Amino acid sequence: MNKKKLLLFSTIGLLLLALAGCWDNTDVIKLNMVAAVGIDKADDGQIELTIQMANPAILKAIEQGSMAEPSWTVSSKGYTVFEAVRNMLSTVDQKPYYSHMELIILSEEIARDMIGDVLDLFERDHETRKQVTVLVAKDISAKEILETKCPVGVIPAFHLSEIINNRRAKSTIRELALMDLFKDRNSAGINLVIGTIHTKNTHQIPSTIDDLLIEGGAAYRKDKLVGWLKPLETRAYNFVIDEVQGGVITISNPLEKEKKLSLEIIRVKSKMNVAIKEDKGLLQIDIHIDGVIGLQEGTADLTEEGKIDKIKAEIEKTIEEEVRDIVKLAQLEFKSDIFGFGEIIRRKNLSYWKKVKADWNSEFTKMPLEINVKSVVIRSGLIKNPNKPIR
Amino acid sequence: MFDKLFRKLNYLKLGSSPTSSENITTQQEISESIDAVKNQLNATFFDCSDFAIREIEAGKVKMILAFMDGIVKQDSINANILKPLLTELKLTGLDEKMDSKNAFEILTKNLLSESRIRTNYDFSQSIDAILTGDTVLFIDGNNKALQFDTKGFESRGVTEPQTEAVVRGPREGFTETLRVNTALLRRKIKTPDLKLERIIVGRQTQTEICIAYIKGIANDDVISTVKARLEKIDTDAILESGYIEEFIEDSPLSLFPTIGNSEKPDIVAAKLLEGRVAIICDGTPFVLTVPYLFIESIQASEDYYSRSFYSSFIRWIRVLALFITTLVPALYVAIICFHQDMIPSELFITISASREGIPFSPLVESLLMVITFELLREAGVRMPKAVGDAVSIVGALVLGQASVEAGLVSNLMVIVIAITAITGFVITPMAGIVPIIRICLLLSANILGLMGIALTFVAIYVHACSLWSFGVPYMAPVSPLYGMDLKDAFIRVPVWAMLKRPKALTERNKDSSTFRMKVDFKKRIKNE
Repeated sequence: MNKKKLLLFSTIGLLLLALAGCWDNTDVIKLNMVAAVGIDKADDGQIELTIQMANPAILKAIEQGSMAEPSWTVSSKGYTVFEAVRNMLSTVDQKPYYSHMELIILSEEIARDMIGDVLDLFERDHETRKQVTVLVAKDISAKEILETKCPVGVIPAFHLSEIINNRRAKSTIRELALMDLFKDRNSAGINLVIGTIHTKNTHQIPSTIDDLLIEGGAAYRKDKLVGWLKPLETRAYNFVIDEVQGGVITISNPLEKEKKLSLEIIRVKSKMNVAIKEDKGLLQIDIHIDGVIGLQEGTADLTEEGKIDKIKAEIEKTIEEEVRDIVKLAQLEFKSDIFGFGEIIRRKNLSYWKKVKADWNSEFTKMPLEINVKSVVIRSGLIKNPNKPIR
Repeated sequence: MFDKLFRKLNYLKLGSSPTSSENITTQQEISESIDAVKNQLNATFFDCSDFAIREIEAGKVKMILAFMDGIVKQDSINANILKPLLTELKLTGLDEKMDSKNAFEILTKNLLSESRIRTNYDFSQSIDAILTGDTVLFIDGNNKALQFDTKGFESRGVTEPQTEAVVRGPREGFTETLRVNTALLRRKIKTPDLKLERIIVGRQTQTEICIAYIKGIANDDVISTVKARLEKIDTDAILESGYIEEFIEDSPLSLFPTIGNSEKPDIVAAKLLEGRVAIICDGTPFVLTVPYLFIESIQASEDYYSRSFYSSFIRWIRVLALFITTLVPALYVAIICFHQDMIPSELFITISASREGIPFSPLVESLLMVITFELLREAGVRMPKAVGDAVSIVGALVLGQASVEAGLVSNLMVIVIAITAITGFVITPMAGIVPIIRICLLLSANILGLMGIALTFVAIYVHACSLWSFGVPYMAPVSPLYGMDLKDAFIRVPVWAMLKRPKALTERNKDSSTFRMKVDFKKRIKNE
């Protein structure tokens, strides 16, 4: 009896050891925390991997008053990304640790047609977090971006990822996490749009991080990069896919000529739909926007009846135009369903989806569009009437 | 050797076949001749310099007064025994009437003014009486003796206990004297149902032990078990209630204490009123209470004296403190050795910055600090108060500044150990087991990370759930669940809402004439 028990418990104990999975510990000081990864194509056709790593000595250095760099950047080459990752160990002392990575930056060359090939490692490896944001570098190499310094003593990658978080107040930023990228790539009814990062001045290599801009997007058809979205187009795109969380819309002031009016977006609720009638699809986009008047040029009295209605009509018109433009751009120029209307059809009407699935992107270009925008001006800030000289 | 120990353990647990020869109380008659008694006494107390013997002649009758100097009230002997015998006897004229035959009658009924007098027929009993501080009067021609309760010795007064300080609540504490302690209890519970049963344990020390309980509230099975287990104790000395504790606890090999102790009469009175049994031991201010449940370690007397909102909040704080003090060093090791991906990036940088240049692995670092802290704590308890400051200065410098500045431990570790230490002082009843659990968890964290911590914690919890304290599950009322008892567990409801006594302790059968246990305790004892 006792022997049996002993055997049972030792078996359970041994199994637990195997189940634990995390055998043997590593001290944090044996790891180099990677903050961002950049992937370029080198001139000799190899992959060039650049990693930006945190410098843990920085805190002590700041304490002692010296101005050390908070991060350091190292590059290595290899025929595949994984090989490059390992080749890094000829340069770096401790093992780079990818769990805390904030960004993956792909150069334009890589982004054009190799996106699946390079990102495979990050999906396959257990160390990477799938929430890491992917960006495409436009007109600049990923290495150059990661080698820029941050003048305020923060790790540049953290600075950039905070900028991406600013999309709550600025809707021209497109954020795509690695996880969502794989999800979108795996479904036939949607094409990728990855956020872009570029320099303010394309003619020179940026030295500090304030030369960089994160806005706009790179549109894909399947695995091919087919075009770029400008900042305002990105905002319209975000309107369609219900990703706008805040920001400012500027319209021409309907109450006074040649003056402008800026509206702060409080909340946006948009809904995409595809109505199918007799095997013909109709793309429907409903947008509901709540806003607050943030600024009015001119001196119109907003308390007068009908004036708010005019503003509302103008907002609706502006947004409808923007949205129509971006859908037309996708249909006519990119010939790619970047919004995911195909996904909606698949969910709503599987039999129809099976018919159009094979050539969905060209099917998408033929579909008519119906846009419905409704806006509400909640309030006009703290004042009703702008101040003006007494006449 | 181990064989012998285990047999002893089994004996304590099962109580089968007492191997030692019990109850050799030699009946010895008191001699009628006073000279024989004197010789006998002198032979018994040969070389006992504190033994005093006084020969007197009251009227025509020879008498011997025997007592132990130092443990009797001299004044009482002088005034209530000697004075009546030597002077008042003559004044009243009773000396004429008295002879050795009726001396006994006259002394007890007419003369002696001592309040508590007992008659002794047994010489060895008289010896025991003398040893406990009573005075014995042998009268010529009688084969019996008079025993006067003249116990009186230097003892500490009722003072505020050092171990259980309160902000609000009674400040009196038990003393080393059994009678004082029972008096403190009697003053709080004025009912004849408060029973104080006396039992003598310890071959050499002959320690008086009192089993206190309230008849009608305390479970009869628990009372009889306590008595049975106390009677089974066969040892030379009981110097403190801790000796008793080790003899009668349910699981002597468990880490967890299944017998509680307190130094405060109000706490013990409250526990008696809840249906517990107290064991008061002469010579120590620490009174044992059984059954002792885990939940009692997060309860404090002050909970009942302050308002229920605050008490409930503080209880949660204590639970939190228990988790923190056992887990934090282990979590530190687990996170920085295994789960670096679980913490925010900024914290990762802070941790690796603070550990930059530390030569030891996190485990060695933690063990070093945990053990250093335990050393300091122990030194603080043991050393004379006068050198206390020196230790605290050295401790603060060694633990804090110097070790960090020298690069031996990281400053994060100092914070970890500081939190561990502070929270460790919150749960004082658990102070004996927390350091051991802490080190167990620390080691398992170093082997399997969070997985290891979880495994060890589950193992400890399962073990705690398997314990019993005098027929009550140790983890009650949480496991098994006694719904109504939760009123006084993690929250304390107002006193007016506590309508029933704890069910875990005082559950009765349907006709409410007999007590009931969650398991059939009587059967359990029998099986043992």
